[in-house]
Amino acid sequence: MLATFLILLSKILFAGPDGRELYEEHCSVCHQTKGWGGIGLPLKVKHIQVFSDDYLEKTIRLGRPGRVMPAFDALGDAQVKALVSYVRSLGGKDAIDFPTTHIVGDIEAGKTLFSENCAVCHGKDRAISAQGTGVTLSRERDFSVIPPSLLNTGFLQSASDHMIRYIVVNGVEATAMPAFGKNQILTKQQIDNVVSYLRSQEKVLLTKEKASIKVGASVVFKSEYDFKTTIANIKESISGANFRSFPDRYLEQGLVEEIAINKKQVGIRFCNFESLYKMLNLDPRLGVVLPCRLTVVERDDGEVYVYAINVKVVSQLFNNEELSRFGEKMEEIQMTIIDEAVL
Amino acid sequence: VKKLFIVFLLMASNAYAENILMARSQQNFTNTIIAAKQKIEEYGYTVSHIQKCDGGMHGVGYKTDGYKVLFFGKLDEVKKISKLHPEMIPFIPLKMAIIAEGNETLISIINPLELERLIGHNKMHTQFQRWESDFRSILAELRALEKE
Repeated sequence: MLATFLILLSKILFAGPDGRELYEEHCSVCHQTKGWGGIGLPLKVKHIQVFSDDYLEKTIRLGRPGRVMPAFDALGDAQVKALVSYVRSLGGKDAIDFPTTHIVGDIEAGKTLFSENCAVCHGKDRAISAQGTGVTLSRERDFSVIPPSLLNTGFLQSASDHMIRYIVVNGVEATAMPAFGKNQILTKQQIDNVVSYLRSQEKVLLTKEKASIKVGASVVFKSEYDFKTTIANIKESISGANFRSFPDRYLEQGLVEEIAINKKQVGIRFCNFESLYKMLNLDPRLGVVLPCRLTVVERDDGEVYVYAINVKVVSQLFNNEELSRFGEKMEEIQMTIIDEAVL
Repeated sequence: VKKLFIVFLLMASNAYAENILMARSQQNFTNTIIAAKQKIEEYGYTVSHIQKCDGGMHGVGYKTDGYKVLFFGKLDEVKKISKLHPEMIPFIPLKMAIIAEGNETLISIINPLELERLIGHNKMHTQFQRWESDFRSILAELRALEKE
């Protein structure tokens, strides 16, 4: 018995992490069980498979700020390597070993070339040009990849200069990405200028990113009115802002028998289906917060407060720039509704 | 031996910093909702409400896949949090989004440790840790469901 246990324990202790298990736990939800893609890109296609292990490892670690792909920064080295090995087994193609040296070019000329040739698909900044790309409800499954945002710190820290040059020269099969070098759309020098421009943006973007982290996930307002009047004011204000209201729900409703519910905590729920539809197309996981609820609470001392999600702050969770912009608009609308109701 | 093995596996597990915890269930949308409700209740929570986002959108002419949100919580937690940490009121009851994707289903839930970061204080750290542990276990069990 003890011997069996020791053998079992030694197998566990000395066995490496299981790439397949890790993939199923962390990746399959977006990239699909067999790597065919879903919210995330398909991983078994040739053009992803030829990318170096280093690129894939860094991509897992850093994610893509501003996009759905999170940074799995708490995974250990062995786990990341096991994951990469498993991802590679999905397609079975050999990786290209790109040199790690930097390519020197004219940054200013590269900026102009990027704007003229690349920005139309890859976006001018961290944004992406196509609406809602990369997520479940809107992603066109006929396209094997979506133009990635190149001015993205996750991408720039993962991809070497030579890897970027390789893609620009050779294009990407079965996608809209042309072979700029092979088809002589750009000269070798022009391509190097573009690569240099992209590389020059890495530090600039990293600094901006660090400065933009916000906290304060909820907002609290003290109402100048009593409980009933505050609720009535909010409903009037919601209606004025073109939202559809739903039946109110007490905070404790469904958790306890009706008679025992604290009826001084009520959630006023509202929705604009057009906005919800647009936001779900940007990221279907939005349901984990469903921000359109204002909760009115009368405290024991009789004071009335209104609580709401700070949409602008919470939208950071979705790692999606377009959604964050929606979040900012929603936040403004929500603030107006509350202001009108409580002041 | 079995107990030691389980303890070892628990010790070996890491806390990952994904903003949103997710799982893919091989079961279809309806079965996943039933299973999710059951698992949530097995962990001591009560599902207070199921919001049919898909129904609402269909009702006004938008085409979507199956999409529902499960609201759940524990009465004692809701009472305690709303009294001591009212800034958390907008986030309770807790929410789990269930999204159809073909014959499979995606389940997502906010990572409580990331929510804690956005709340901006650690006065509820133990609570957030407990939620995180429960959610990861619930998702792992949903992920492990066999195709029906």
